[in-house]
Amino acid sequence: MTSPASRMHGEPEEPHGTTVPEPHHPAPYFTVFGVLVALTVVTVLIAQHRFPHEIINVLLALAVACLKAGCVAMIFMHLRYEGKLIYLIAIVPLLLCVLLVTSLIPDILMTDADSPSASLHVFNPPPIRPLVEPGHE
Amino acid sequence: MSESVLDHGYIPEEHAPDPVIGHGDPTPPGKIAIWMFLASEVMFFIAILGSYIILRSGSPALFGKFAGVLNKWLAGTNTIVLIVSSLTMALAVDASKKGNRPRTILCLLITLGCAFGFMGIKYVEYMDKWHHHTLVYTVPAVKPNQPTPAATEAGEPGKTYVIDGHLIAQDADTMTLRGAKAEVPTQPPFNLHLIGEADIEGLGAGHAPNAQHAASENERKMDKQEPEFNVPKAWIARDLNYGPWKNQFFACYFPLTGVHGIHVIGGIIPITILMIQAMRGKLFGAATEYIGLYWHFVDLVWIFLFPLLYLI
Repeated sequence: MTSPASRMHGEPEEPHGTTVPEPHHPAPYFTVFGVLVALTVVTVLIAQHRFPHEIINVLLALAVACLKAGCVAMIFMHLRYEGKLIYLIAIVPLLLCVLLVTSLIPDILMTDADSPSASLHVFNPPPIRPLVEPGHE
Repeated sequence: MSESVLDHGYIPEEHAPDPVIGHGDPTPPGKIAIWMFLASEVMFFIAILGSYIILRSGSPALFGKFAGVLNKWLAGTNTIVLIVSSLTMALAVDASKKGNRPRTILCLLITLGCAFGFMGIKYVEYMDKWHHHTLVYTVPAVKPNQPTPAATEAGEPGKTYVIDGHLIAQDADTMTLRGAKAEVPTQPPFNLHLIGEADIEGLGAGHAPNAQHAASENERKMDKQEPEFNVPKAWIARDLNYGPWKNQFFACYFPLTGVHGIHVIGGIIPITILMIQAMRGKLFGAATEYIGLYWHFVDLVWIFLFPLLYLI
């Protein structure tokens, strides 16, 4: 096992592309577990209450989800103890995700009712009516 | 892990810090590989989640109505189950790296148990939707030379009815459903794909169809025992269950949870292998860590799916 001796010799604090094989102190798995369970209860309780605007519910739910995701990634996935390379790999797709979703916003907000993508707005296929009358000869 | 050259306080030229890799123990290639795999997984999931967000913002009333049909308590239990499995997986990685074989086996076993528990609860949820039917049937009209039958519980002769509810029994000629029943309105035309149980209760009470009802299915079920209806199969004109073909909401719900379920199965297999190897006396610290990273990612996806599908 590597000793954390390199730190004692005044090495740069943030080496990139390296990994710390053992956290210097035990990772707080049980604490994070408790936090995650508590946040799950919180998000369900928040959802019980309907805010006047649905967007408030959505944003609160997403905020709690991001908090939970951060806990999982940082502690369970050891991101906290990783070097810059792993951060780079982890962050690039997140940026692409933001790009993808924001690039779709015009589709949601700026469509006319008669544009080809208007079908996204109203799911309204032709109505199905029961015309068959099996007992009727 | 070999002792680092840096421990000796002097750095030979060939061991000078690499401009990219840096100091200390280099990140193992396996870890970089699994993180790149997870990065591609993030993009995969955001693509289908993004489609869901777009479709949902296009038809908020429809999605809101059918999201209320889902059982959020089962899904909440599933969230806790996955969090527990994430914890035990993290402990398994820790135990495996420290060479603690009994603890590794125990933790992997609990993780596997949680994974199967998750799939079991998922199965219950899927079956609940699978057995949720929307039926349209017409009671046969009376022939002129026959005596007029009394109006049965199925309805008056010649009229068309719609039932939305759970299939509780069926034999060769009859389906028994528990749910809501109403006469099919002629105005405005109604759409089988857009109609839910609450709408049909509304129809029965004289409200317009497709109205949004705040109370979710579960909340209403607690209020009263729902009536049962027996429908002869010969009378049924339309039969649509709550599968992906029901409407856009279920066409999002099933792929999202289904793909996630496949990822859970994809985690069960290597965890089983690691556990069997640990039982045989072999510990794979690095491999356990990588599988652990994947498993935490599966948990992470569910952390987003749960509020997006069940809570909002």
